[in-house]
Amino acid sequence: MKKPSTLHKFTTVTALCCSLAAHADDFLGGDDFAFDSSALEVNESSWTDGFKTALEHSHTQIPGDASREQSSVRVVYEGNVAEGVYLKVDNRYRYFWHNDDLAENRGDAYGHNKLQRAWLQYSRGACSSTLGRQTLIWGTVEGTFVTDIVTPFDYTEQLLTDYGSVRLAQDMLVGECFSSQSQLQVFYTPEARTDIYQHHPLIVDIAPGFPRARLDIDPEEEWGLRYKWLGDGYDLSLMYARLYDNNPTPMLRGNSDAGPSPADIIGGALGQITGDNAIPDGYRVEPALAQFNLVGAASAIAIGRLLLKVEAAYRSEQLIAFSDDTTERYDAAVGFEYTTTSNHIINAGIWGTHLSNDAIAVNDTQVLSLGWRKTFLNDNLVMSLLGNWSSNPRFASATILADYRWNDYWSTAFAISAADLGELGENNPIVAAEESATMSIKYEF
Amino acid sequence: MLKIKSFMLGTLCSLATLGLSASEQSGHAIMEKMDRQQREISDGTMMRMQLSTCKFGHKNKQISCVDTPRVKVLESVSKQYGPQKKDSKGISIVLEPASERGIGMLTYNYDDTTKDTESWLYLSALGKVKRMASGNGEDSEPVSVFGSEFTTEDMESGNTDEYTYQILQKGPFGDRNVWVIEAIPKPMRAAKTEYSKLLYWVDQERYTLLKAQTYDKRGKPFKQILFKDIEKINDYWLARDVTLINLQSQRLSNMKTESITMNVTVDDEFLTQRTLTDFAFREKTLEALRKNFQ
Repeated sequence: MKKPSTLHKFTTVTALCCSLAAHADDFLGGDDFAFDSSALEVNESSWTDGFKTALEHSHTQIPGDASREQSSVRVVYEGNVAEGVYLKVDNRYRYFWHNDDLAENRGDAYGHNKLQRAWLQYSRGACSSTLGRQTLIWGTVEGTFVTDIVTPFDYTEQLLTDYGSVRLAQDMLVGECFSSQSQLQVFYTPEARTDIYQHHPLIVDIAPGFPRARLDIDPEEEWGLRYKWLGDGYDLSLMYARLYDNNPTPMLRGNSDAGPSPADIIGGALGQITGDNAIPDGYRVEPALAQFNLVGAASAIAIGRLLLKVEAAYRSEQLIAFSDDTTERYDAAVGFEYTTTSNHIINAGIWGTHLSNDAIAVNDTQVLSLGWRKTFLNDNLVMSLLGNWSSNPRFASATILADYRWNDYWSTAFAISAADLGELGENNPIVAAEESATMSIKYEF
Repeated sequence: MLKIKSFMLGTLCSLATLGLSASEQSGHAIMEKMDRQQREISDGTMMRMQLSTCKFGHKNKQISCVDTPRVKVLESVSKQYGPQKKDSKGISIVLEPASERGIGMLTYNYDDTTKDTESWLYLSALGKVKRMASGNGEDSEPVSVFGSEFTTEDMESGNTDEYTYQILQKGPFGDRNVWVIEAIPKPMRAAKTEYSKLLYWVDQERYTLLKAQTYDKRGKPFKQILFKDIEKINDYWLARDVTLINLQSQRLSNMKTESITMNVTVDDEFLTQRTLTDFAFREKTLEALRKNFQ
């Protein structure tokens, strides 16, 4: 459609305004503009209302090379299937083009299907239960993983544009009971999914010269509960869970209790870097997942335009890499979100972690985050800025994102990121490179 | 979205009470009656509405869309609380477009201006309920409601002390007798409004709006709002078709009430956070309410 010229716009506005002003003295003259609203069709209910389909292509470019090149089709259905019974199915097929980093790691382009959600919810009285693949998000401070670890991030996903897919959904049973001021939630997962890299095998370099270790492991059941109190202007959650860690830890296993300790072996190996560089006989690298207790609390407090968020958690029995020892872990996060009078949204947070075992070289970690968000053009354009800094591994990044909705179907997102990778290394799932640009285009109907 | 409650609860009538108060007695009486009527309508109401927005062109006073309208379909439920029914709770669910389907918003509004509005947003993509903090909304810049030309200011009600009023004219307007009432923001309001003046055409018999006109800070005509398809439902007169014409952006928004049911019993439990995540419970309740749609 031809875009109206500035002159045309000016003429139209002037004509509209003058015609109103000319009749300002007689308000009953009926000098109104006529609009035939019947030309706007009313969307009638249809059996297809429960379906949603999204086609998307995204490309991330780093200097001299493509980093991500993925296309996807996603189909979602949700709706009532009987009185008090609700069904949701969310499936996404992604194709990784040959120049995508993940495809290059596997040697060729490939496709991957992901059933993100498939659950049935039944509600009766004051309680409901949800059975099937689903996500469960705890915690209040965005971008931190103090208590939000039940359904972790999937690091093979683009983190910028599609928040519905970035979680690693779990096959679980969730029960909830509600009262006017509280909620009690219980979950049970028979076989937890913790492989946050999914079809991107997690392989670690132990030390120069050592064979690379593939860290695959299947955890067993997880369960937990949360009690949430809803007060005037605040809410408070208390959580307890028996969980597995979302990252496997490389451990040295020996055939015998006799002989040197794993730490001695690693230390010796690093010192020698001998010709064959093999792990000493009788020892091997194996992945292990910490099974631990989580005790946590989270709160969000609204004070005028300020939303304060606080979280704290304790985790028992955390594994230490290449060690027989374990440690306790303490996490705390504080954040805020402030909406200005002109509707800019500013948020910030700090997340600190402390490992109680003094034998660990670095047992305190801090992560800072800062963000800004504002909508423009009748909500069609969303601009946001996100900055992160981490002390261990040390890195910093900043991303500016523009998300523009062209109409009810088409939208595009464009992001530019800059990072100081520091100790993160280049093949990490968090930041693509020191400089990167991501473009995605999506069609939804 | 800050005033989503007003948008959902009293869309059809809240415009009628936009900032209205009266130092002039007859105007005050008119506004009191309209305000009371709005609260009664919003007490136990469910509606399904369609909000369409487009750029427009005009020829001989006939306006029409010149691009494909953006369409949002929403369902909302509301209920009034408090001794004078001046507090409210409301929930709105987006049905269309597909990209926003499932987003839900629960809002508690209080007549007491010292008490902040409480709202929670359910983000369907995340599957998470997020508490929002927007204060009492009194000091914020107006923002677009669901991307339309309606702004949060257009949806406000009850700011009766912040304007001075004058009845400019009485007489027939089309086939109805109306009062034409002028509203001028007082200094306390002037800093936070987009308008320097507002005019209302109020039906003398039905106490509903037939037309509204706003003027920008320079005194230029800004927005014209037309009310059509006025029907009597449950003894209340309602405009099922409201069109806001923004003369400056050359965009218009049309709000159609496809279906509505009023004065129905809404359990307090429904207007809680449970409804944002317990879909089976939500749909069971909504299905029962939909049976009363008119």
